[in-house]
Amino acid sequence: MFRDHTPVVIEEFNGWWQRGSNDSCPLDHFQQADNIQYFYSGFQTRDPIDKYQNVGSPLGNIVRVFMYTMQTQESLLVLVQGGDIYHVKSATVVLGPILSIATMTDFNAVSWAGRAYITPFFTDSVDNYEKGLQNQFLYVYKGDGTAARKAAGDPPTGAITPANGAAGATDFGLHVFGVVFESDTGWLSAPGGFASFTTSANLSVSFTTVPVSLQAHIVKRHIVATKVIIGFDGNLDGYQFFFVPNATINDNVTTVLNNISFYDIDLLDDASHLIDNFSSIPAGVGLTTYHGRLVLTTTYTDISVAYASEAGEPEAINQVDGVMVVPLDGKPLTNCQEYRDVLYLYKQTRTVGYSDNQDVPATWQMFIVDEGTGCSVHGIATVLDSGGVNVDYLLIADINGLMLFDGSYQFPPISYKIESYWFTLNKNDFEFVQVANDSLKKKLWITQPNDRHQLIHMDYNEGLSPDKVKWARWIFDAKISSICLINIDDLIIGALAPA
Amino acid sequence: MATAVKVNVGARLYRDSLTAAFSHIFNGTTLARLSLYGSGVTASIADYIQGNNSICGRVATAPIFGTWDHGHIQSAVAPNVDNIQKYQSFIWFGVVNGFLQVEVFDGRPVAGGIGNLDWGTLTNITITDPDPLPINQCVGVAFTAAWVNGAGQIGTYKLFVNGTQKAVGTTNATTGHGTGDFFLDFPSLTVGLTKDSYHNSVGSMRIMNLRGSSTTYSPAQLLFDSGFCNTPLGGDKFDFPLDTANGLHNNPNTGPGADLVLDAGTIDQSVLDCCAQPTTSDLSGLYFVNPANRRDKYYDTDRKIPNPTVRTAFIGE
Repeated sequence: MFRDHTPVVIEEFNGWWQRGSNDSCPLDHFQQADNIQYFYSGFQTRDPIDKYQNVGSPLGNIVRVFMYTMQTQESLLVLVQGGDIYHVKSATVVLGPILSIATMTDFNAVSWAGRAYITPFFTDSVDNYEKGLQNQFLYVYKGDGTAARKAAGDPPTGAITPANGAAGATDFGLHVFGVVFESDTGWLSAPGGFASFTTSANLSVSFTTVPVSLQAHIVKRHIVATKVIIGFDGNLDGYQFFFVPNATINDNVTTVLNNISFYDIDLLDDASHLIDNFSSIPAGVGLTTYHGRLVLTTTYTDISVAYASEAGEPEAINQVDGVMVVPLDGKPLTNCQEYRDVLYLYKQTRTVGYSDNQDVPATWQMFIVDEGTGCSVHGIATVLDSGGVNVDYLLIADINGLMLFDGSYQFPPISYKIESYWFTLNKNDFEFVQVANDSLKKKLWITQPNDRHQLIHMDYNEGLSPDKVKWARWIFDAKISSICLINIDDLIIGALAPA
Repeated sequence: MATAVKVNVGARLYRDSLTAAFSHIFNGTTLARLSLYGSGVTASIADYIQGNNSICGRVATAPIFGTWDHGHIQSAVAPNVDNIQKYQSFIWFGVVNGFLQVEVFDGRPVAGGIGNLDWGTLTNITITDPDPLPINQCVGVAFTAAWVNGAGQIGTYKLFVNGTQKAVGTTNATTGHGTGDFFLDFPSLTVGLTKDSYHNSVGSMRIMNLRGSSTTYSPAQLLFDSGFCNTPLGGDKFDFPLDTANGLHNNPNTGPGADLVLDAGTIDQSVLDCCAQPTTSDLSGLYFVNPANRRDKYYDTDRKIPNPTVRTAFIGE
């Protein structure tokens, strides 16, 4: 050693520092911290990875992994190169592909009542924007290995034939009757198959030629009716329709329903909102839930538009009332997330919010949260296996850094210590950035776009603030494409073949 | 690595003591020409050899062994039993979800001796290697059949992979002659699982001979091509005229020529060797963090965690 050298005692290792020049690195930080993880004040070699699948033919070339919550278990939806999505139920059970679209290079999904709603998207090479696939749709997967199908569906065609039934009770007068299909996922079609009929006061009404659907997922049909129309103008679908009580056919076969009695005062359940619903919901990029509604953003043709479904009816998206238009600035919506009762919509460098005013989404007032900070398509940290927020903040990967969001963005970014490194990340490839937050072990991982053999690892056991967190790079021989957490806090890593 | 798989395959067939034998050399291009469900269909290799984007993708990176045109054989018109020579036995083999699966047809006549084979059912035997095939490695597969001719005789078959016996079983000549399931194998032959259905990426090989069964069948085109193993590993390349009109077949004992009815003898030790060219290591897949390990475990190999390194601010590297 050197004479007169005064040893420097480092009490704690506070992780990787890459901010400014090397000279600015504090003594208790590392200029390089590769493949290590932290425990208390020490560090050790990172945990190894292991094969997740124990089957003879495991999936390869993983593009995206999504934690899919079924009613009975957690599982994975896995997109592989070539556009096939598989359902990996466990290490030994793989189903599918449950959705195959050759042009799908990425997807988003939400779990809903045991089902998965899946939207395929791609990066448009013209403008480098992520958009819903053109001429593609939102899909619903039931979790049973059968192929995902298009969400929503076609309304009835043909015409129902009403006639007087047996003695019963209806309000005398002209009504218009129609039919609504119901699917195995609870989706209700727009009314169709209309016919007018003048009911008699002391007679029930019977129906024949009740339209059946060619769509295999239709399992019920409901009769809908207007109240008595005075001065009928012949426009069959121009009136308000209601579900007729006890007028449901619980199959997609029977074409007769006899002796239905109802008074107009019984017509309470309005079906009018179904009329303007999408029969095929266009594919988008962002997908989340908000106040019991499914929210979809960034279709191929409307990159600044978000759609919200009816509450409790994820496949019922009204083309008029369900639309939210974020100011058109030429940039697409990239993400969406509910937080503290507010729906936040993100662009690359912009964040806006919407609050539910108990009216239709088209009436919700937008407010601007931040015009300099936004989010990438997978940039919101999923927390444990919830796929959303269960801690009182959002961690958002933005081109500025890893941001803590609690209604507003907190500065400096959590990634303050590695700011120089963060700014080397290619801002045009932030679609590859994905964040998983293990709030139990207080660890976080980020996939990064430049060298996809690396994961950025953050330990925040000492506190979630820019000065307390500890950073490291995890480097793999495999090319990391996607991450998620399953079974509370098991980190799943999807890998592509090395280039 | 791109999703396209490299499937250069060589196969080697050692003749048994009695019957015809062929050596087949084919590669992925040949497989691509297969029309499994009809005639005249030409598809890209990716359509038939599933890459990593399919459920059998990883499998297809190496162990595709050979091919037989199931599509034409299992066509609506079944092979005429008269066109199937007696004493011939067949194995077809392929990869199902990563496991080698062999389907065997015991072609011995019921009573031994002369007699056309019946168009029966329930005689093909499916054997599955209990261990998944190694990835990206050459594998040697041998199937031996010691089947004594004669009514009621028990025959023994064995399956070897890389020199290790993986399966052994017996078959009875009395019931071992039906060809129905074997050739009309839509429901029975499960080798070659695909993302759409079964019967794709099928590797198969005949260990004896077959007289023509279909006018659209052209094995020389289907089964031979140059590639990795463009030098025959033994014997002649498959060159079977299948000229049913002339009743020709290729019998190594006699060469292509007039039909020869073999009415006695013992089918013994029909050995089939196969190899596949190792492909580039593919580390893709689904992984999880496992603190119990000491090394990164990938699907093809274990690897050391790459250079855990820290460099402090003041003492250098």
